[in-house]
Amino acid sequence: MSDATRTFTMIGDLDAAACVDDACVRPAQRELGSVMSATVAENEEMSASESTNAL
Amino acid sequence: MTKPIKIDVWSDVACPWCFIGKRKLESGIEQFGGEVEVEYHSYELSPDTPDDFVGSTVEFLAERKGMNVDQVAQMLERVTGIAAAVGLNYDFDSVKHTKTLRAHELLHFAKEHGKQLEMKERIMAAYFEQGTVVSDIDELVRLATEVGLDADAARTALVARTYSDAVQADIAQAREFGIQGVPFFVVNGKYGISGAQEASTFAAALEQVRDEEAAA
Repeated sequence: MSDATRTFTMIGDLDAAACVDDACVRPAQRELGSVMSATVAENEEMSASESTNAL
Repeated sequence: MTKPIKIDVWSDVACPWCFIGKRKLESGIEQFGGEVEVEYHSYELSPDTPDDFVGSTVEFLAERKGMNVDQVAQMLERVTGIAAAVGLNYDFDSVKHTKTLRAHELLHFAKEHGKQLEMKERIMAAYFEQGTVVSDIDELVRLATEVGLDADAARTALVARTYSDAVQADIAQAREFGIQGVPFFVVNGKYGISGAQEASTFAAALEQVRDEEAAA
């Protein structure tokens, strides 16, 4: 699995709010319930398959 | 004379955190006070959006992604509040979710004519605050003229898809870098900053890079 943290020296909070696929959530904040869970599951699945859709 | 610090930003015009991150980056640059050059790069957050889809964000996420409508609404309400805190007036009731590739092509056209930053701002405001369909060529041409670009040249480039390869090259570069979420900021090709960080984080990163450059 590719990861920008292997490309760059990262600065700041790695859990800062960002958009991954269609869900624009802060990874550390789990209060969004199933929206977050569905997205995490979907993204993990995509990442595992190295799907280009993960972008 | 010192070289300006370069910040390459991968973002999508339809990414709510990207617009918030843009504001925070601008504040961070202001706090830093030094010379900075910002260049935006294309990233398509929802590549599976059909070419002809135009609908609300809730419709897209609920109907096409199977997400819970109430929770999508809650998510959008939360991000709207955070946007308001940085002076942005998100109006998700009017947002038209659509394919963003053409908007990215216009950004490349604008970059070639020295207007990329103005164009980025105008397209994001049109998308999030004014309900503009940013896949529509007529609307994109209108936005282009509003930042001082030539209407005919913009239309020709959009119709001919002149910058399609440039957009895809940006997306491929992001993939190569391992960027999986946006906004993503690369400072002087070395440091990565992920997400809509606080302005102080951007300012501190820029100070760190300036100090390192001075010591080198």
